[in-house]
Formats: sequence, structure tokens, C-alpha cells
Amino acid sequence: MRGLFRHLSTWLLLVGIAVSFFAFLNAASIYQQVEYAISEVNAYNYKYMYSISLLNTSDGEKVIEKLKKLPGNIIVTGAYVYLDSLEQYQECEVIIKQAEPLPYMVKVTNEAGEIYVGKEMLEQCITENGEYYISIDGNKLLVAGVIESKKTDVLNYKLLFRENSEMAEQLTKSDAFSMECNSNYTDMKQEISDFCKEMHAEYSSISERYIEVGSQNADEKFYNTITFFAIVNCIVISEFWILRRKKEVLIRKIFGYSDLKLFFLFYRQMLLVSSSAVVAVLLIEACLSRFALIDISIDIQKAVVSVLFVVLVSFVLVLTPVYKAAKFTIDKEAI
Amino acid sequence: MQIRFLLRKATEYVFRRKLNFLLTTLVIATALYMLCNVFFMSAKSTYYIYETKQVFSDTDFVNLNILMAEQDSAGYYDNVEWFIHKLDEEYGENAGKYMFLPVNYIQDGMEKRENTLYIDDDLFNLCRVSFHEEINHADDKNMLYGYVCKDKLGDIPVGTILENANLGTKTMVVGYFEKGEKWSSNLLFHSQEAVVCLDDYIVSVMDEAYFEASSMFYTNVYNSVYVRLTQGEHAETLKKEIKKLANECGIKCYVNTMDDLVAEQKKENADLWRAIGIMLCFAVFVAMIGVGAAFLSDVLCWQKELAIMHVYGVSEGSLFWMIVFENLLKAILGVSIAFSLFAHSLNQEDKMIYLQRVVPKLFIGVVLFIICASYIAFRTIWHRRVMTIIGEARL
Repeated sequence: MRGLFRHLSTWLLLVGIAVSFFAFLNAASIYQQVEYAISEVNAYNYKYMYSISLLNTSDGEKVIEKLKKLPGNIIVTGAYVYLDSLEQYQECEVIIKQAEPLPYMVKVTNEAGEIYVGKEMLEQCITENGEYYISIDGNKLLVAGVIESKKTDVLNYKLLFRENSEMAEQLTKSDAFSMECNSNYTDMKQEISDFCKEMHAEYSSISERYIEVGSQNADEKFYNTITFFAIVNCIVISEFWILRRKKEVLIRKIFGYSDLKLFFLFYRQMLLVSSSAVVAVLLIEACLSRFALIDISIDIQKAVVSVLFVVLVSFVLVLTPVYKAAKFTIDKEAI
Repeated sequence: MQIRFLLRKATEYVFRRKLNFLLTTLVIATALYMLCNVFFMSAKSTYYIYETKQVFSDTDFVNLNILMAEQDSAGYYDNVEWFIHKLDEEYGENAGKYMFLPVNYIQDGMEKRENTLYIDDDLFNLCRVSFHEEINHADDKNMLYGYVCKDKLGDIPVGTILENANLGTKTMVVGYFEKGEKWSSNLLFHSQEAVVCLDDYIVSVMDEAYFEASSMFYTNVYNSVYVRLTQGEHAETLKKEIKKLANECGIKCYVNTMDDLVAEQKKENADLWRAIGIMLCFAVFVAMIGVGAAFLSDVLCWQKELAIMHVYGVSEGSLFWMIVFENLLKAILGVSIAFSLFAHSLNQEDKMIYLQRVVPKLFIGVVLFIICASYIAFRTIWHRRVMTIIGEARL
């Protein structure tokens, strides 16, 4: 190991791994910040929004069944529930169908919960065994998550029942619906028009300005490209690392090194280089977040990812050099 | 001779190390694809501003956003009417208004509904739309004149007289405009669409009969009154004058230049643009360092050959251009792969934004980066002693 960092090739490899690791580690959080900013700029609206009102229906179950076949997110609006802690009625919304992500940040606290609550509504909740519960109409409901907004308080008092909630099931007994059908991906005007014709309902388009950022599935494209880039970049740089050591490998081979032994030698060295790169990145990130230049936090999850990255990347990266080294022969390569 | 030698050597090297060449090209392509994605996001987030600016032939104007009448404010519309007449008197052909209306027309005895954009005669040259006139509109002073999209000439040919079913005014179609022409809808004020495509519209000179019939029609021109700046006139002075006139008429209105509105948008969306800015920096940093390191390692892989060539008398410049050529070859391939793959994933509208706003900037950036990265790589090996490079071994 001594003198490993003596040569430029090792430093290049370290830089390559560090950049790849930095990209891999932060792509998601940086992209998420853009997504939240878009939601706020668009006032938590969707690109396509329609309001549907349906009065005097005889078969609520059929309506719900039909609604679930529409594209996008279907949410019943303008419903009221009795909030026991405040002793007053509070407006709420009920998700009938969620096919797309909600346009605001929801910090999930329990996947099995029935209701999402706004940040300020947490004060009305009681805590038991680390879980939040809210008492509505005499029933204690498990909170699934907290809706957060950074700038405005429009979401802070929100009560949003999930698809799996009892409230959503009770809608089948309802005889009137006021809903919003929203989507960021498809304009479902035709489907809604057909639904309204069949159900004798009325619909109207909600015109709000929507600033669109990026193409469809831009997030997926971004993550996949970053991951692919991180891998290929490291492989390319590792090639020079081994080419430079051609003579060393040949001499080791003369002295009886097997391919397996070479593999372990390189793997150990690669582990050291990767660990150094990861530690350097984490230190730089800690400095950056300390001076609040960018919103990057370091937590346990990131630490675990870092260790896994070091082990796996070192393994993948050492394969090319070992494969190349195995092909070095004394008769072809003059020392 | 020298160029041929450079090309031959660079190509030889490419063929000798095919896998490395392909992998480095792949790194460039991936980095560029990532940059395309991020730059496209940035371009799209500001595209509504760009698109709005594009519909005007020049942006030396002030726009008036007249506030809606409050409840029980009797006579407000009359004040608006008076205000607009005063503007006409004061600024003459520099002032104008437009409005969008669906209109019931009678054409050859048949009633049909057509979306219509009414523009004051003086405001026509503020649009970038190019109108092709086939009949001289000055021939008949008693008739309004208008234009239709070229694609609609089959239904409404030039010379057609459309009678407004409600007001009785007649509009003669005197020409046409090309498909895809656009006009501003609400000038960066809160609205769903930044611009309106005029393909389904009849563009007609303003029909004053609407305002004569009822001053309520002034609600259609609330944010579509424009006063153009004369040469040498300062926007701030004009704004003050108009505000004073509005006060005299008892009108509440916002008076803005295009720059004011763009600045307002920047302020409103500051968080979004900051987040996109961080992502841009992140992507550019990752791509530059990643590709730069790959280039450097690639050049270092054949430093021995380069050193030997130098010993045999190949000049410094020739060696540098050899490296540039090899890297450009990779870049051309990488650019072709990344640009075409990304374009393929976009719909028609997005493709236009991408080609207009992303490709030129990225292309220039790539070329500059290749030359700089090649130079850095070249300097890295040039500083080392030739014999050290040729005879280097490490144990």
C-alpha cells in the first residue's frame, strides 16, 4: 500500500470516484428541492385541473367505481368533519384515487395511517408510542404523514383522508359529490366529459397558471443518467490506473502472483482509494452544509449508502484492471 | 501533410484502443444527456417569458393593467372609456388595445362562431405576426378588415365578408398569416397560457361598435392596453404621465414595462430559479470534473507514444492538435448520441424549446470545454520530462 498515492493515476481515480459518489449521493436531494420549489411556484396546482359536481346520485358505489377509472388524482373537496380537540367542524379532503404524486411534500410517519395532516394540525394530535393520532367524530385515527410547505400556510391546516381510510369508504353512501380531478401528465378532458355525460354531472376546467419544468419523467431520467455516469466514469479512469502499472504487474507475475492474488491486492488498494474519496466528499459536504451554501444533510442513511458504495464500487472497478492484468504477458509486453 | 499526419495518428490511436474510446465517448454522452436534461428544465422554467417576448416586434412599451371595478362603483366603466379616449388623444398612434372574443358571424347566410382577436389599427405593427395582404384594406373605409390563418383560407377565402351577427358590423378578409403565429394573452400576468396560437383565430382590426354598444366591453381590455415609447422617451417618465392621467380619470391601474414584469417574475419565482441554479451548477460541476478526469486519464494512457513522437521531431502544437482532434471525435459522437436520444424522448412542443434554447448553448459549451480540457491534459504531460515518460516504471 505504501506509495499508493504517489502517482497521478491514483489521484485521478480518487477524483473520478469522488465525483461519481458526490453525484450519486446528492442527485435525489437536489432534484427534490427543485420539485418542491416548482410545487410552491405553482401554488400546489396541477397542470390539468377539473372540478366536477355531481348531485342527487342514487348509487354512490357506482360513482366511486367509475371515478376510480378516470386518470389522475381524484379528490373529494369541501367535506367537513368534526374535530374533537377543537370542538368544531373542519374542512377536509378525501382521496378517492391517487395515481400520481401529490403536488406538495408529505413527510410520511406511518404508511398504515388513514390521514395526512397539515403541519399546524399536529398540535391537535395526540402521541402514543411515537405515533400521531387525531380524534375525529369520536374516532381516533392514525396519522399517515405531515403535509409541509415552506412559504405559505395554505397547507398547514389541511386534513386529507387517504384512499384506505374509513372516510373514503363512507363516500359510497354519499348522494352528492364535489370533486377535483387533477393530473400533471395527461389532459383527461375527454374522459371527464364522458363520465359527466353518463352520470349527469357537471364539470369545469380550473385555469391556473402552471409553470412547467422539464420533460415528462425528468426525475427518472436524471437519476438513471447520474447512476450510469458514475459507473462508466469510474471504469474509464480505472483503466489508466492499471495501464500505468503494467510493468509492476508483469514483475509480480514473474514472482508467482496468481490472478486471484492480484485481484485481492487491487481490491485492497481500490477499497482504500474509494474510502478516501468517500470520506473527502462527506467532509466537503459537511463544510458546505455548515456554511449553508446548499441544503445537504448527512444522516445514518447516507452513511450506510457510503459504505455500500465503497464496497460495491471497489469490487466493480477492480474487475477491469484484473481482467486487463490477466492478459498481460511477458512475451508481449517488454519491461 | 501535417494535418494528414495528425488525423492518421489520432485515428490510429482510436482504432488501437477501441474499448477505451467507446467508454470515454459513453462518459461524454451520459454527461451531455444529464446536462441536456438539466438545461432543458432551466429553459422550460423561463420559456413563458421568452415566448411572451418573442410575440412582440419590440418591447419598448408600457403596458396598462386596469384594475377591475369594485362593487358599487357606479360609472367605473365610463371612466375607463374616458381614460382610453384620453390615451388615444395624448399618445395617438402610439397607444392601442386588443381583445380576444368568440364572435358569431354570418357568412353566406350561415351563422358560425369564430374566435377573434381584435387589435387597434395602430397596434398591428407591435405583433411579430406577418400579415400578407391580398386586397387593399383602404379601399372600403366602411368595413373592418381582417386576416385568417393560411390553413383556413379554404373555409374563409380572401374577399369573404363576415357579418357580426350581434352588432351588424362587417369584416372583410383581406389576407392571411402563416400557421403557428402567436400573440400575447395576458403579458406575464396570472394566466394559464403565456401566448395564444392564432391558427383558429380571425385577426381583425378593432370593432369600436362593441364599446359604443356597452362600456362593459372595456372589461375585455383590462390588461391589453399598450403605449409605445417614442424615440428618446424614457419609460419612467411615460409611466408617471400615464399614472397621473389614470388618477385624473379615477382609474386604478398598474403601469409596467416588459422589464418590470420580468423582474417581478424573477422575484416571485426566486426560490425555483435558485433551486434550478443549484442543480445546474451541480450537473455542470459533475460533468466537467468527470469528463475532464476521463480525458486526462485517456491522454495519460498514450503519453508514451506522444513523448516518442516528440523525440522524433513532432512539434508541441501538432501534439496538442492531435489530442484535440481525438477528443473532438469523441465529443462529436457523444454529442450526436446524447442530443438525439434526448430529443427523441421529447414531444413536439418540448423539442422546439430544446432546439431553440438548449442545443446552441450546450454545443458551444462542449466545443470550448473540449479545447480547454485537451489543453489541460496536454500541459499535464508536457511539464514532465520526455525521458521520464518514456522510461517510467513503478514497483
